[in-house]
Amino acid sequence: MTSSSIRTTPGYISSCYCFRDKDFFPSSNKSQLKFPRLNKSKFLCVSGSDKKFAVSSCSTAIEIPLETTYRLGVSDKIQLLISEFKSLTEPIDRVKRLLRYAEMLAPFDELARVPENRVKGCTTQVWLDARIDKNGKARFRADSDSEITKGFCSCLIWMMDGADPDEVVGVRAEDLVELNVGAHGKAKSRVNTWQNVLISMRDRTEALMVEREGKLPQLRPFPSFLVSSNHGSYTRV
Amino acid sequence: MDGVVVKLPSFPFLNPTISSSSPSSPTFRLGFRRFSATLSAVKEGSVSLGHLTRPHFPILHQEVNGSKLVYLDNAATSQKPTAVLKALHKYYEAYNSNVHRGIHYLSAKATDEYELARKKVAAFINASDSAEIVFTRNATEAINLVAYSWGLSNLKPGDEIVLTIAEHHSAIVPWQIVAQKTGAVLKFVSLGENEVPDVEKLREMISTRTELVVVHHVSNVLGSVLPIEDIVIWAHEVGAKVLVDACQSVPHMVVDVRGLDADFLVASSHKMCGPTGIGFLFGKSNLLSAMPPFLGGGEMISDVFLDHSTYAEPPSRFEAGTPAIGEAIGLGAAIEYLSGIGMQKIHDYEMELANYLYEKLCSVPNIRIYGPKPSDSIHRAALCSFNVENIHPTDLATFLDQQHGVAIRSGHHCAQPLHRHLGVSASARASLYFYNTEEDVDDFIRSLNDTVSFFNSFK
Repeated sequence: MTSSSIRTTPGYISSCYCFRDKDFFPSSNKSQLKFPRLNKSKFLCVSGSDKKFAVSSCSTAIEIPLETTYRLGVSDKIQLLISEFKSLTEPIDRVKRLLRYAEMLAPFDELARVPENRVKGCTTQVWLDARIDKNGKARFRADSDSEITKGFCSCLIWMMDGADPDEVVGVRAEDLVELNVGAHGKAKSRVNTWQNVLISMRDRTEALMVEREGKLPQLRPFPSFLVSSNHGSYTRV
Repeated sequence: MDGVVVKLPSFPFLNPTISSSSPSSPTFRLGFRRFSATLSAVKEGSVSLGHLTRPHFPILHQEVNGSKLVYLDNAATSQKPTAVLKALHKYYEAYNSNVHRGIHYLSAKATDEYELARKKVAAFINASDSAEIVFTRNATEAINLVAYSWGLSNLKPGDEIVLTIAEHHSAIVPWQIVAQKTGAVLKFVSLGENEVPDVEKLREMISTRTELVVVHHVSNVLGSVLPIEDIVIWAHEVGAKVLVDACQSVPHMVVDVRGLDADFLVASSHKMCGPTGIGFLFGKSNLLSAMPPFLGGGEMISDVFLDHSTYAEPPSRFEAGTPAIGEAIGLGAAIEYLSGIGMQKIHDYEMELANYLYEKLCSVPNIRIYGPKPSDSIHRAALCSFNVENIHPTDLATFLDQQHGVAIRSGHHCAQPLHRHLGVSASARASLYFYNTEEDVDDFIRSLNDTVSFFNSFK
């Protein structure tokens, strides 16, 4: 992936997961990430000029220079994902596609499975690890006990892992409404896990930005509050 | 199956089937329980109650995601028969008017129907007087009413409230709030053998310090039934009151508040074929009379001055503002419909369905069903909460819905403490009502097996 005009279709994004960032996995000396058991499928990066090159699904790690992976902006990736899911007219196919993405999710560091990383408001258990790396990019890892939720996380991470924190904070839930899989309707319900994960990714990134740079991002999402049982105090979700 | 729909006789509400119930709790009927694979009880000719009643529920006859809808989420809410829909429609079409205040014809008619609905509720649960029925928005509001009105004026620091860990959040949280304000202490009974609340421990926990016992009648997760009569006896011995959460019992069986001698009892209309937005609190007259108001406003006052007001008698004292008139009338129609079938008949049919569901569910590989195993002495409600090893219940429910049109629930079912005790974060739950059939259960099991295979193939 050396051309700057390459557009990757989300269905073949596994290559994006297999770079390694030593700063992100400080404790891990693994040189390869787990690959899904998709039998011998070729991963294609289709560029605008019709050039194709295949990355085979082997089990060796593929090193990709960090910069080139992030050429596509978050909003571009959202559109790609939306069009991919829209092309799947049967709801069950979307569920199946999500399960495929779930398999592609990078392994989650057990140490990160702490209550602080729990995404609140989901019927499934979701852990989200959010950081800002040394290049100032937002980095995410997520895990869940539900395969479908892992699929959502996988998509969200593909969209936003390695992006500029400002871009992450600017994503609105409405942008992703088309991706509603399984959870019917656009209403905010407890079952709307991906929305909760998205909001969590945004809020955590924003908090990290404030911490790191002492400044707030351009777009501030509207805060939502959670009533806690703590003598009537309110906790920011 | 020859589908001849028998038109059910509609008995007037004055003759509910409860008069035929035995003095002892009907849920502990001893008798032969057949665990055969086919339903045998409660059939008119060769047609089961489910088949008889299904045509009355238009919503059940539709397709979702390309499959026939199989609605198994009745513990969350029930469907409504056309009789109830018609009653609601007729109210708004023919005589909608504000109640209790007006003098004109429509207002008088609306008031009559609204108060008639109250009488129907009273008769349905065998309350001695319709003034013991307070209409609320739902059972949750009813419990809050007791908590804020009775609780705040009766609880002192050190007073104890006994509950079980299997209570619904609505039966726990209001008491947490009130306990914080009054200094009262909440005590929770854990599960004993058979995965039901330990009744012996509950008895031990009731002491002279106990002021209130809050228990469910039928558990919405475990499907178990508590011996309310006994619990009330133990509580009254020490001068404690009992609040019964009857949300999962009133819709499914005969409930007799005088037989149980309950002090407070709550239920929701939307779980018993009635509309949402209405529920009720039953409270003994002497208790309600001594309770201060909950919400303030119109209707619940006697006289209003600038510096003080005087309040109405119960039940009006606890019904501030314009009530959900149409909804109350809808609930009345639901009660008539249910009484027309007969609560004992509904209960008997559901018992068979419950056993059938449990048996069939047991055959699913790696399944874990929560609650007691049904037997001659242990009766389960027609619901099963379960988990399948290595598959998240939300994934199960999503696939069942998307691929098979089967509607079940997944989550903590508003019983987080119970789930924590069971060691799981969530469970799936299939819950039936009298309009479900054996075929619904078969469809569900077939779909569930398919779902489990699907997820296992991904691992």
